[in-house]
Amino acid sequence: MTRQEGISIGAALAAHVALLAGLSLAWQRQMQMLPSPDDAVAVELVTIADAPRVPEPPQPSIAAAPQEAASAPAEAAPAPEPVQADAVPPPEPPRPRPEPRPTAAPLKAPASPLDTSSLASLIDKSLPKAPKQTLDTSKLAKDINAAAPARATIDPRAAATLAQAIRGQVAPCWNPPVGGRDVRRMTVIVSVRYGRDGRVIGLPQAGTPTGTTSANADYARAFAETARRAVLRCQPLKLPAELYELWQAVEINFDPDEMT
Amino acid sequence: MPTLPTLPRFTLLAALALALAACAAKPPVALEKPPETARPQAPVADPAPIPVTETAAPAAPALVPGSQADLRDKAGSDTVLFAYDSYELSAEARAVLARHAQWLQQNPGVRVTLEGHCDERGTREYNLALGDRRANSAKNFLASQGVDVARLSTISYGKERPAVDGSDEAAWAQNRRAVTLVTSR
Amino acid sequence: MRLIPFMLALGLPAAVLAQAPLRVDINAGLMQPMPIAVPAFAPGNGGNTEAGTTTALGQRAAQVIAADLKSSGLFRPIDPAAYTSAVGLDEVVKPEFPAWRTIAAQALVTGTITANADGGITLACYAYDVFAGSEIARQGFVTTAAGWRRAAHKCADLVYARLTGESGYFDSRIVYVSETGPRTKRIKRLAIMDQDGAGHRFLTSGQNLVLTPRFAPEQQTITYMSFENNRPRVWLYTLGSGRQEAVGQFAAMTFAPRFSPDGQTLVFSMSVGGNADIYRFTLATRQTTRLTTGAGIDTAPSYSPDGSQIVFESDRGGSQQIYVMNADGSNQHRISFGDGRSASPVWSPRGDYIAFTRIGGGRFGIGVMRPDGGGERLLTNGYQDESPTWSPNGRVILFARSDRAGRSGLWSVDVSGLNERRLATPLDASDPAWSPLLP
Repeated sequence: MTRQEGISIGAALAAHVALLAGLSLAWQRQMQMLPSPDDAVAVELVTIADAPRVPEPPQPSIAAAPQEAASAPAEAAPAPEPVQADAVPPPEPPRPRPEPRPTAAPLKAPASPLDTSSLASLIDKSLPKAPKQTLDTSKLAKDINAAAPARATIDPRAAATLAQAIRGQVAPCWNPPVGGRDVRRMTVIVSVRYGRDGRVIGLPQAGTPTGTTSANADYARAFAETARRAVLRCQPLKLPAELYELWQAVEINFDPDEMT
Repeated sequence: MPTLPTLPRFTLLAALALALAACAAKPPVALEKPPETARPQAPVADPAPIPVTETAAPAAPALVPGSQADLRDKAGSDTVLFAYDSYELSAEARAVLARHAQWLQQNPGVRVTLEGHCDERGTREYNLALGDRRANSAKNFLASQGVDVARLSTISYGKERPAVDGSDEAAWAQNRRAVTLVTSR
Repeated sequence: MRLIPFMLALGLPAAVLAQAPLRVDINAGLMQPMPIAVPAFAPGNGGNTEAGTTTALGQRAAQVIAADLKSSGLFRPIDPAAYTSAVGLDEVVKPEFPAWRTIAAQALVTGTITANADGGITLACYAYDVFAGSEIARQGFVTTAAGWRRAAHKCADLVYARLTGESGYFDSRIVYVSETGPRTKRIKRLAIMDQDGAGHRFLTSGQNLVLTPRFAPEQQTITYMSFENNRPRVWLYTLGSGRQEAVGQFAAMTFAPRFSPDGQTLVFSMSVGGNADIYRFTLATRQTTRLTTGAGIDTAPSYSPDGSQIVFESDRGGSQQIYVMNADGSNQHRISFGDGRSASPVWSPRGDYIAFTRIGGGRFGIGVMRPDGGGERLLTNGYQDESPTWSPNGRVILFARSDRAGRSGLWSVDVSGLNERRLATPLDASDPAWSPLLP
C-alpha cells in the first residue's frame, strides 16, 4: 500500500468512526443510555514507515522453488534439497515406446493421431497423486518432432502436447480462491517468458481478469496473483530444450471453471 | 422464571396415575412410557431464583383449596398434550380443560396462566409462536366454558422448558403441552 | 485438500508459429490452504506495557494472527519451528525471501510492536508475496496496551483481505446464549466474546430466560428476547453500561428481533392471540407498523443488507417455508421449495445468499440459497443444527449444534461447505450472532 492509499484509507476510517460516534450519540440521547462503554477499545490506523522495496524479484533458484513435502508435484522439486529430500525420490525414466505416426492427421483432431498415450501418462503421473514420476523430455521432444516434421509451422497437435505438458506442471501449483462471490466469472491470462533452463524470466505479467468490475477489483487482483504465484512456484519447467523456441513465451489462461 | 410448585409426592403420584389412566384411552400419537419418563421431572426444591407462584407449599399433605395441587387433584391433571406441530385440542384435552373450567368456577378468586410448550424438534422462533398457539387454544377453550377471560393469561415457552429431559418420542409427547398454572387466588 | 481432475479440453490455435506465445489453458488447480509464515513480531523498542513486554506481545500477536488465518480454512500457518531464524527489525521490512521459499511459505506476515510514550502500543503489520518477492500490504495500528489483540485481528484482516480479495472478519465479536443445567431447568445467559473466543464474559445473570441476541450495526447495542417478569418480549442491552430496556409497551409476546442495517429500526414478531405476525418498530418515533397479516406463523425476519427487503419464515402455506417481502410489507412471496421445512433465514451481509435451517427426516441442517430461492445447497447436517449467523464478510456461517443428550455448542462452516469446525465456549451455547467488523 502506498503512503497515499494509507492516508486516504485512514481518512475514510476516521470519517467512519466519526459517523458511528455521531450515530451512537444520537442513540444515547434517544435511549438515554449511559455513555462510554468500557469495552470500546479504539484502534487507530496509521501509515507506517516506508520499507526499501525489492525492485526485481530475486531469480528463484531451485532451492527457492520448493514444494510442500506433503503435496509436492515431483518435477517442481527436482534437486535434492536437504530439507525435503525424503519427499522426492530420484526420478525413474519411463520406457520409450516408439510408434509410427500417421503422416496426415486431421488438423482439429486433438492429439488422437499423435501418440500421446505415453505422454498423457507421464503428465498424469506428474500430479501430486503420483509424485515419483518425472517427465522424460527427450521422449516428449521425439513425440513432438515426429508430429511436426517441418520446423516453420508447428503442427497444432505438437503445440497441444506441449501445452498439456506445461499445464501438467503448473496446474498443481494453482490454488484458486474458491468461495469468492465472482470466482466463477473470472479468468486471467498470465504471460510468461521462460529461459532455456525452464526458469521464469522476470516477473510474469498477469492481465486484467475477465469479469473485473469496480466492485470486485480487490478480488480480481487477488485472483490474478494466485495465477502468477502458480507460475512462480512451479518452475523450472522440464520441457524439451530443442523445442525451446516454442515455449520460451507462453500465455497461460487460468480459468477455475471446473472447480465448484 | 416460573416454576412448577413443589407438591407432596403422593399427590404427584396420584396425579400421575390419573394422567396415565386418562392417557390409556388415547390414540397412539403420544406414546406413553410410564413412570420413568415423568419421574425425573417431579419438581422438587427448585433453586430457581424467582418462583412466581405462591403455592410453594411445604411438604404439608393437606390440599389448599385453589392451589395448583388442588387443581391437579380435582381435575386429574394440570396439563394437556398436543400432537406434533399441532395446537388442536384432542377430545381428552378438552375433557381435562373442561374440568379446569369447572374448578375455576368453583374457585372464583383464582387466576391462571396458560403455558404453551413445544418439543425440541422445531426452530426456536417458530416454537415460541407454536407455544403461544397452544396456550391460546387452551385459553379459548376455557373461555368457551364460561371462564372470564380476565382471569386467564397466556405465556409461551417454546421449547425452552421441556417437562421431560429426553430426545425420544415419549419425551417429546410429554413436552408438547399446555399447562394451567395457578398464579393467584 | 481436494485434487481437481484436469480437463483435457484445449483451445487449439489453427497453426502455431514458432515465435508466437504458446497458449495453455488451465481449468483447475489444487484447492488447499495457502502456506503462510507469521513469525513473531519484532519488538520495535525494549518497552514494557501493562499487557507485557513488546517482545512478549510480539509473540502473542503473531499467534493470534496465525490462529485467525488458520481458522478461515484458507491459510495454513507454517509451524514456527520450521523458520530458519527469528525476524529482526531489519528483516521486518526486508525479508529474506529465498529462506521463506525454502520452507514453502507463499505469503509472509511480519511486523513490529512498539511501546508508545502514552502507555499504548503501535503494531506495524507487513504482508509479502514470497514468490513474487514483493510487499503487498502494510498498515500501522495504534491502540492501548490492552487493545493489542484487536490490533492483531486487524492485521490478520489486512492480510486476509489482500490475499483473498474479500474483506476480513477477524476483528469482530460474537454474542450468544450460554447454557447450563438440565434441559428442564436450563439457565441461559447472554455472553459475548471475540470472534476467536477470547475476552469471554457474561452479560446477564441467568435469572431470566434470554434468547436470540442480535447486534445493532453500531455494535454497542444488542437486541434480544427476555422472559423477565414472565413477560416474554424484546429488549435492548447496551454494552458497557449494561443498561437493559424493554422495547415498546406491547401486551402480547414480542420475539425474534433484529436490527435494520441502518440501526434505526427493529423488526420482530408479535404473537397476538396465538397469531404471530411481523412488525417494524422505529426506534426514534416508537412507531409500530404491522408488515404481515393472516393466520400463519410469520417470524424470524432478517433485512437484506441494503434494507430494502426482509426475508422471513411463514407456515401460511401449511409448513414452515421462507418468504421475501419488501421492507414495507409489500410483495410477499415464497422462495423456498426444497424438501422438508425451511426456517430461520438470515440474509448474508454481502447479499448473495440467505442462510437458513432445513428440517427434514428428523434432522436439522444449515443451508444457503440465493435470494431468489435458487442455488440451494445444504452445508451441514446434524441432530439439531439451527440459528445460522453470518461473518461480517458473508464468507462463514456460525450456527448452534445440539445433540440428543441436550448438549449444545457453536460451530462454523465456510459458505463453500468446507472447514466445519467448533468454536469453543466455556459452557453449552446456542443462538449465536456475529457482529459487523469493529470500527
